[in-house]
Order: sequence, then structure tokens, then C-alpha cells
Amino acid sequence: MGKISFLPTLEDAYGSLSPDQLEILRQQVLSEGGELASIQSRFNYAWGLIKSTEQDDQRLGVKLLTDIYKESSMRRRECLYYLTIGCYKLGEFSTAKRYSDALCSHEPDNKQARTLQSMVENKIQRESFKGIAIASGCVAVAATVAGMLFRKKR
Amino acid sequence: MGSESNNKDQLSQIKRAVSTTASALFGSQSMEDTILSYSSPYKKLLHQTITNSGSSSALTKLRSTKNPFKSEENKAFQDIYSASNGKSFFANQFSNTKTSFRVLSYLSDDLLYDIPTITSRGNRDKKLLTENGDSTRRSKKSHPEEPSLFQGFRSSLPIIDETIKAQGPSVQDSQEAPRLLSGSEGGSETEKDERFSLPGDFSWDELNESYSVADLSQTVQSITDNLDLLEIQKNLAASEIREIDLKLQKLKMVRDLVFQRVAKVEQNELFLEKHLALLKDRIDMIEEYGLEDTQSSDTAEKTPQVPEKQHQNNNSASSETSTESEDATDDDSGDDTSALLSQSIYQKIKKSPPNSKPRGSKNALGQKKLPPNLHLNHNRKRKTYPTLQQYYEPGTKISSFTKAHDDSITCLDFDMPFGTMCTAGKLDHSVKIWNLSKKTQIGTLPGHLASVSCMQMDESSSLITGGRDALLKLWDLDKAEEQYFEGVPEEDEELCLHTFDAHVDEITALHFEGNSLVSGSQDRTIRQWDLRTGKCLQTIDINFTNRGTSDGFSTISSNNPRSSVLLTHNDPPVIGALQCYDAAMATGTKDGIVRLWDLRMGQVVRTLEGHTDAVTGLQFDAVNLVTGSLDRSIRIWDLRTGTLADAFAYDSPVSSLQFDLDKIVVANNESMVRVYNRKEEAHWTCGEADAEASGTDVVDFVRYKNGYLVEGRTTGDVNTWAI
Repeated sequence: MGKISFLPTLEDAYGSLSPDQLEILRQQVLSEGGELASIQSRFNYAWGLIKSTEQDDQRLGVKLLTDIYKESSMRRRECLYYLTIGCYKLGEFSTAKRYSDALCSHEPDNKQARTLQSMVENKIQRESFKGIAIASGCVAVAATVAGMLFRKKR
Repeated sequence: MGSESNNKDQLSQIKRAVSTTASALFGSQSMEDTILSYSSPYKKLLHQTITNSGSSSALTKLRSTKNPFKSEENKAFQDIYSASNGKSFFANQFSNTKTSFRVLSYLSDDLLYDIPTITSRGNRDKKLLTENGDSTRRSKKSHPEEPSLFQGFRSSLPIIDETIKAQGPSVQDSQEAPRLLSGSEGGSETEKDERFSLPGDFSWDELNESYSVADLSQTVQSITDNLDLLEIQKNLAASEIREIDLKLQKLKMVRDLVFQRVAKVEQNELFLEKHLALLKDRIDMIEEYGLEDTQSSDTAEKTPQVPEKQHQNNNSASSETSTESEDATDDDSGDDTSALLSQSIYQKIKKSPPNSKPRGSKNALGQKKLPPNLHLNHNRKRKTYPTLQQYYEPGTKISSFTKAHDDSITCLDFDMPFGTMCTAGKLDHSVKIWNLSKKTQIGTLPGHLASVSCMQMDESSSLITGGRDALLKLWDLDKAEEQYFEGVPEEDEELCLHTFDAHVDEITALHFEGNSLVSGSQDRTIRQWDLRTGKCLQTIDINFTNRGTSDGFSTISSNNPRSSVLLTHNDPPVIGALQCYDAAMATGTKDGIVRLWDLRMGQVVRTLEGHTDAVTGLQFDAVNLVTGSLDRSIRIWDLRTGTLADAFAYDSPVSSLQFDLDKIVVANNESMVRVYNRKEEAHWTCGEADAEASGTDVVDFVRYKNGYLVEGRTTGDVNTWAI
């Protein structure tokens, strides 16, 4: 394997682990005492969960990440980054935006954080475009129907 | 399902129920769980958690039967332990998973923007993140000292894969699995020992013979990558250590705080105990003189019952001491009748050994000692005892009294840790009383005509001293304390409750237990006194010829002019130490022989020979007798067989010793106290070893109770230590 980058890219959050791997990560956390486990092993499990395809697993992963965030003030910057990715993957775009905004306000010069922020924003825009498109489509349909009805009446 | 019936069984069978449920469920489990069931290392924990994941219905039932009170909590919010995947974690009966996820993982704005920037590490992180922003693939040189969590994750993946591979078909024992798992650092430990292999499928021989630059550089590349990986793993471990250090620091702070709390509470307890005692005294006084306001006619009848009543009340109130001391006191109250005297003394010692249960026996003393002529009515029992000394690091100096006396300390005693201490100095004819927790003097006891050479305190504020003026005096410490603060000119007639005057030469050792006091004097007699009447019960002459000349002894003792007992000449005392319990007495004398006496007959029942010089310290409990001598040795005798159980020697003559079940503390004219841990059979020292000060600043006298050591020095200083 090549060198490991400092922070994951969004793509790193995809490509789920095998159940075996995930279970081992979980056992690692359990053997260290659940909530008392070291931050690294809890993160390992959380990230493994986020990589999973199951939405519920991803949620648990995000939940664990927030725990880490609350507990370790030193890791907060990092955690915000991971949280953003996690929420992005989950489709919680508003939360993702919250996190990425917070991150960027602390790391204005960080390109990776910026990239992530813009990705989130783009996604939100696209989503809203989609929404607008659907809504406007509906309106158009309704208008034509109404128009036709109106014409028929006339 | 078979487990259904098991559920109704008792708690003892629940374990079985869980496993049967688990095995039953495995059949219906998904692929994932089946694989895991083969890799048995996880055993019960895994079984439990897995069953939890798939079959919530059966498990909830099981859990609710296990603990009906907790079931609701369990349903409301799962914890990591029981949730094997996200679904069950967020599943509860109140809301859907999405909502509960949002609730559980919400970060408030405050928290979100509360990111440390000032701390050094924060700065570094910031810098690193910024650096990192430039390129996702950074050169190795800019590798952070502390890798990111993500790097940690990536670097632990290969280990996980290895683990899975290794676990495959073969069965590993459960112990190994978590260790292999411990991701970054732990997994390597076992592995490293076994084999270090080059990455990939290269073997060294192949590489040596290869002439293909491409191949070789590929290998170089992969080795470099591997090194990077290892470096990250190393850093991960390092940061984990830092994390642990931080936690330890925090825990230590918490411990300090709690320690303070204990200290404060104990101060409060001491305060209340004191007032309780005063109140009880007043009640006793009122009842004794019939001064009660109401029902004054009844008081006469009541009076005799009162002590017992109070005793019972106290017993029921103090749960910590109730049973044991009840036994002890019952025993002792039986002593009053002569019938018990026929019993074997040893049997009695066994029931309430003099040292291991000081509360019972000491209290018995207080109860029985109702001398009409001495007006000492100590009908008390403490509810609480200070325990703070246990929480000090062993060997910590708790407090020190500089220049307690102008000259060296000859003897001292204290009633309990953080309680009251009495000290006597060589040139000082009065005894000083100190408060050990406030570290202040609270009284003086003038009265002796010469310096005080031995003393003993009990828990009910009475003190007996023996001095070079051949007198033994019983003191009331409470009154002394009162007078000291009121500034009343001390009249020793009032403070001294009784003077035992019969010896014709200086007192060198005394001990009291229950109603009897024994004292040893330079006039070569031991006298036994009745504490109730103050009369001398018997006088025992010790006759032994000095083995060798006394000059022979003084070769050692003259080098140690600060021996614990004061003599005009530097000769060891005839009776160096004694202790009694009921009708049994042990004495250590100048000839180095330890004698066990039967006080009923006034005769020696056994002699323990071994010491080659004068015995200066002696103490026994139910099992052992420990003696220390000027011949520098400590001997531990077995009382049951009368043989030597253990012995060891120090570099200089022993002047004083005391012991409990755990430890023997010894003063041997060195600047530190020697401690011998009997359980671990380890020697250590308490206090700084100061070679230069030897001769001018050495420990003369030690007293030790419940892990609380008090030592008096030649300089007149007194220090207390936690052992």
C-alpha cells in the first residue's frame, strides 16, 4: 500500500469493509472496555462503520465520532472533518454544512477543508436544484392540466 | 425456541441460557455471524452481543427476566456493548432511528466552536492540517509526529486482515485475539517475536541474486512504504501512551481532591467525637451524683445499669466494630470473675489478641476501670477511627514537630492516628501533649521529679508514665488540655489521678492492659498493679546473673548514649521492655533472655534465649513475639511453639520497636526508621538516610499504629509518617 494521506478524501468513505473486519474493530473496542476504549480504536470502529453501506451503521459511526469529538478537544479539528464526511455520506447535508463551516472557520487556510466545504455546498445546491426542478415540473404539469381543463370548459 | 423455558430458570442458569440461545440462533443467523461463530476466541461476550443483534425479541425477553428494573433503560438507549450494528443501537420504542440518531449525535454550537487553538498541540495540529491542505500526498519528511486518526485506521487495516487470515480455520485461544487486535501497537508484540518478513513475496536470497533494477527498486519502494506504515504505528502507540499519561494525571488530580475530602471529613469526625465524649462524661457525672432534674428518685436505681446500657447503644450504633469488639468485651468482662483465670490464657489471647483488636481490649479497660478513688469514668467507645494515613503514599511524612523538646525524646505514645500524642524529653521533667492533626501543643503534665522514661496511652485519654524518680503516674489528659487553654496554673495534684509509688529505683518499662499495670524497674523488680484500686498486687524479683560483665555490654551501649531508656550511666536497663496480657507477661531483660511469665503464680513459664545482648524492645500479639536487642538483631518468636520463627539483623543496636500484622518498625539509632514488611518479607526504610547526621540526629523511639508511625529523635524533633 502506498503512503497514507493525513486526512481521508470523500472517496475514502466509500468501499465498505468486510463484516469480518468490522467485527474485529468492534471487538477491539469492546475488549478495551466500550466507552473507555482508546480514541484510536473507537475511531477505527467508527470509520469502519461509516464506510459501511448500511445507513444505520453509518449513523452509529457518526454517533461514535461525536462522542470522540466531545471527549477529546485535541482531536476536534480532525473529527469535524470526519463528521462532515460521515454526514455527507448519510445525506444529512445541513449537518454536514454546519460541521464544514465550523471547520473552515477554524482552518481558513486548509485546502482540504475548503474542498470539502465546497463539495458539500455544491451538493446542497444540486439537491436544491433537483428540488426546484421537481417542484417546477409539478407546477408546469399542474398548469398544463389546469390549462387543458380550462380550455375544455371554454 | 429452547431458551424460552430457560428464561424462567434462576439466575444461575442464565449463562447457560444465553449460550443455548446463541447456539440456537446461529442457525438462523446471517453469514456474518456464522463466520464469527467459527472464530471462537470471542467466546461468551461475542455470543452475547451477536445474539443481541439478530434476535432482539428473544434477547429482550431474556434480559427482562434477568433484570426487570433495568429493562426499560436498555430499551431506551443501547450502549456500544449490546449493539452490534447501527440498527440496534438506535432502535428504541420511542422514535425512529433517524430521529434518535439526530438526537444522539447532535453537537451544540458551543461545543462545535469550542476548539482549542492556543495550546501548543493545537497549534501544531493546525499547522499540520494546513500543510496537509497543500497536497494530499505529502513527503515523509512532513509526517506529523502525531498521526491522524485516519492514518491510524489505515495502518491498522493490514493487521486486521492478518488477524482474519490467521483466525481462519484454526482455533485460537481467546486470550490472544484481543492482543492481536490491539490495532496499532499490541498486535505487533507477538508477531514481532515470531517473524519479521520483508513485504511482499520477496525473499532475501532472491533479492541477492536479482540483477533487475526495476524489481529491486520496486522492493525498495515497498519497504519504504512499509517503514512509513510502521512509523505511523509507532506514533500511534506513542500518542496512546500520551493519552494514558493524561488520564493518569487527571486521575491523580481527582485522587488529591478526594483525599482532601477524606481529610476534612475526618477532622469533622474528630471534632464530633470529642464533643460526644464530653457529653457522655457530663451524663455520667450527672447520673453519678444524682443531679438529674426529673425522676431524681429513680436515678439511684438507674445508675448501675447505665454503663451497660450505653455500651449496648454504642455497639448497635457502630456497625463497623460491633461483632468483633462485642466478643472481645464480653470476654473481658468475664475476666472479672475468677473463673476465667483457670482458662488457658493463650485461648483468650487468641480470642482477642492484644494488638489485632485494640479497640475491644482497650475499651474494656475503659469500662472496667471505674476506680472510686481515681474518679476516672471512661465509659466511652469511639464510633469512628481515622483512616486517612492509609491513603498516603507509604513512606510519606505526614507532619513534623520541630523541637518538641529541647533534648532528645526518651519516649512517646499516641492514642490513635491523628489523635493525641504525648512526648517526653531527656532533660524535660514534664510530659507534653500534642494534637496530631492540628500539629499543636495542647497541654503539659508536670509532676515527675526526674525525666520520664516510659509511657503508655489508651484511647480514653488516660496516660501512665514511669520516670527516673521511681514513680508511676496516671494522668487525665482531658483535664490537662482544659487547663492548658484556660491558662490555669497547673496543679499536678489534679492532673495526676494517681501515683503508684513503691519502686525504689527508676522505672524502665511499663505496660498496662485491662485492669492491670506492670512496671519494670532498675531495682530488679517487676510490680503488678491494680488500676481500679491503685494497689500493688505483687512484686516479682528478677534474679539473673549477668552473663559476662556489664562492661561487655557497655562496649556497644557506650557507643550509643542515646539509648531509649535514660540512665545516668550508659548501661542498658535491667528490664528493657515488658508487655502483659491478662495473666501472661513477657519481659526482655539485660541478659538477653526473653521470659514468659504467668502472673497468677508469679513464675517464669518459658524462656526464649537467643539474643546476645540486652533486650530493649518487645511486643507480642496472638501469634508472634517480636524482640529487639542491643545485639542489633530482631527476633520473631512463635508463641505457639516457643521457637524462633524469623530473625534478622541491622547495622546498629535496636533501641525501640513496634509491630502489627503487616509491618515491624524499628528504631536503631539511625537517621531513618527501619520497616520490615512481614507479608512481603521486604525491608525498607522510612525517612532520608543521612550519613552525616548520624550521631546527632537519629531516631530514638518509635510508635506505630494502623499504618501511622511516630518517631522521636535525639534532636527533640518528632515526625509522623504514613507507612
